[in-house]
Amino acid sequence: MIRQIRTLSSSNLLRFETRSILSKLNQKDVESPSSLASESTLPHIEQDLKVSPRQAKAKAAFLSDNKLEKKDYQLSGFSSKIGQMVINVFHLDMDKARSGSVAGSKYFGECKRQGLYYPNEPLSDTAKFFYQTLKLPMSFSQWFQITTLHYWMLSVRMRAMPFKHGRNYQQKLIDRIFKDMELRMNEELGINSNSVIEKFLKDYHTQVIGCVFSYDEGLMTDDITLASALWRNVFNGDPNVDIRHVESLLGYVRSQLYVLNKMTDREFGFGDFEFVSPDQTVRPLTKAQEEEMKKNVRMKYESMKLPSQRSELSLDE
Amino acid sequence: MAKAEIRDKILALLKTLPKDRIKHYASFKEVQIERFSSDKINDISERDLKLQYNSLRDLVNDKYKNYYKLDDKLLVPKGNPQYYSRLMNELKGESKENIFTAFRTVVFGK
Repeated sequence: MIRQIRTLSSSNLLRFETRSILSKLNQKDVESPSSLASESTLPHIEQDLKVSPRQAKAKAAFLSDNKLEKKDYQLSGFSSKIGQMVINVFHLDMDKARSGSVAGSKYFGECKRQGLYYPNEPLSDTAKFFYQTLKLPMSFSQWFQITTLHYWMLSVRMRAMPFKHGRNYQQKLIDRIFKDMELRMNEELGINSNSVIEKFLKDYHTQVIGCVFSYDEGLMTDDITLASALWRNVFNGDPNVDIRHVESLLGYVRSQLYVLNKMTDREFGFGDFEFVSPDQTVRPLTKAQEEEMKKNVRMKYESMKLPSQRSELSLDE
Repeated sequence: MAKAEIRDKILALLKTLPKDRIKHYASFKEVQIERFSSDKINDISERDLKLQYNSLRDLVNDKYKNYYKLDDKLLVPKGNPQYYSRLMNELKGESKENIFTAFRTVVFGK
């Protein structure tokens, strides 16, 4: 059956047609990453990781305990008016100010939640895809690899923003990821030694550089190079990997990049992107759909007149 | 198609893969050639082996790169237009960063 039109962006404007089962009937079409990976019944041979992964003994706040990061937090009317006045009087650069709340909070949360799991707690749909469908080991390092992959996808889009903003967004996002890892290693994994945490962080930092380099190479060359990079990093170079699983993850990555490619700087910069769930299929837009989407986006953002909603980010690309 | 025949097709496809541009801790091409040359495939059903071949073929044929086409907005990013070309030139050995360009990158970010 066709599952018609799913909202991919929280703006409710960016819409892509999604299908689930019908795509199987048409060989030219692509399937959702989850259903593609589920087709294979290859016997799973557990990879010898040589260590028993340390599991979370406690649960830290998803973002933070700060009220500003609570889901439904709203400034009071008075504070809001004072804030708008200050922005107006001092001509504050709102694109710069926004990078903290968008990249350092919203997009950080997007990256973090994809592979997040806690022992004895039900998995999210995306976590099910990674740990149950792709059968990846459940460990902090595996979560880190999944988070790094999502960070890279966002950073590809951030590079396409004007340089000063893109760089700022990238910096805010990666800083927050590492700050969160530092806290979680202490609070959740129970590592009390700062020097041990420091050592792990340096190692993870080296891994981020390697991952970004390999994924960038894959992006600029071909599918098999990107798939090899995913195999080395996300699948831990598993010699008995199910190639169907590698293909499904590659399709997942390419589809997210496609959605990011179709978003304008303004939408992306305002935090209107969310990763598409692996059980959904992204279908390329027709010219007419693209035009309509652009028109709606322009209408939405041009109606934003508050000083805090000022932006120099493009509405065309 | 018999399993041996599918295995031969997988191996033939794997052998066409280019060598890694830089040496990594493991090579997908070499590891998979070794796997599919061994008797490990005896544990794989004919259907699953065929799916492995289909997936590999789709990857080699750039199915997803062509289906989810990206334009210059991401591939030549306006924030740093030389980013990917510099990376690829370095990988292909066409040009190397010298101490001055490396210094500039660190200081200015591009």
